[in-house]
Amino acid sequence: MNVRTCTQIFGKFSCAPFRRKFFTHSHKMYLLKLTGTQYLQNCNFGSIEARDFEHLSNLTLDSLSEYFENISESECVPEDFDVNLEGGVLTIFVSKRTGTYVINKQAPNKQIWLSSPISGPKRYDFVNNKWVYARDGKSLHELLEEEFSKHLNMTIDLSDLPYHWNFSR
Amino acid sequence: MAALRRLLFTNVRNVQSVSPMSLSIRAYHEKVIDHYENPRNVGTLDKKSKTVGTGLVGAPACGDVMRLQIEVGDDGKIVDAKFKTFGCGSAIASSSLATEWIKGKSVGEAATIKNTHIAKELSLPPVKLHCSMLAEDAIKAAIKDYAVKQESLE
Repeated sequence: MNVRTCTQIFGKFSCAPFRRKFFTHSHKMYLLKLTGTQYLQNCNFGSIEARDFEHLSNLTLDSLSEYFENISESECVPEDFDVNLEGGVLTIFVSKRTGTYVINKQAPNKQIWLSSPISGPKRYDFVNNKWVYARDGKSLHELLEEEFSKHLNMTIDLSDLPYHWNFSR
Repeated sequence: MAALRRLLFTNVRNVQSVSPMSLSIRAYHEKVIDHYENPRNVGTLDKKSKTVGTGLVGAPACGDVMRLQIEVGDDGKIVDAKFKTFGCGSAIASSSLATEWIKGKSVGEAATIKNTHIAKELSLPPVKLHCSMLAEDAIKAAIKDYAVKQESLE
């Protein structure tokens, strides 16, 4: 999908700033003023390079996957609790009643996307060494700790995992 | 599309055992297919008009782009809504449903539509909840644009 196709779909609007910033991979969050008073809120490219994002996001997902796979042996955990990490997508099936979590990398905008059956979809940016949801300032690990503690009726502590909100290494 | 739908539903009927993770059939819900095949309110409104608010959300790199426009009457009610979406079936269905719902509502009421309502109505799977969030953002962006225009008139 390129800017030209986008223009064909939506008609003519001022593409020059969009094209320049999009294809130079600017790391700034910006709003592009289009014709009239429309604003296209672009992806937040964050403050990290693409190759850093790959490493950071892989480490985050691997560590989360390992943690939840380990606790799946616990008695508190429902029988069909299942964890699967494949192709950059971490899927955690809690139970039929609770539902499924999907946590995936979104490389074009250097985010981690979460879909929670409780709190819905969220998009996390890498800020100050942790993954943060811009709208409420909460971190990914914080949310997972809260929600999984309720689902499994046990204390979920992710503080040893990389890029936890309390991560200081 | 009809051939694809027949293929998808044929596969679902032939499955012998159902377990959450082993069954990875991905079939669009009937309501999503309906909106995809019969989208409501596709089109454009005059973006220069003072009574039209335009919301443009998403980005091609992310996979979904939605443009949702509202036309607001003198009584503050949305008299018309149009959308154009580039994206998956769920994104198209979410924005089509959004335009259906906001028509006839006041601007204030339209702003209360949540992504959870859209996702529930369309039975969106977990990975597609982001489409419903984008539709909610599109409604809010259109309302904000209309509000900005109205403020500039005063």
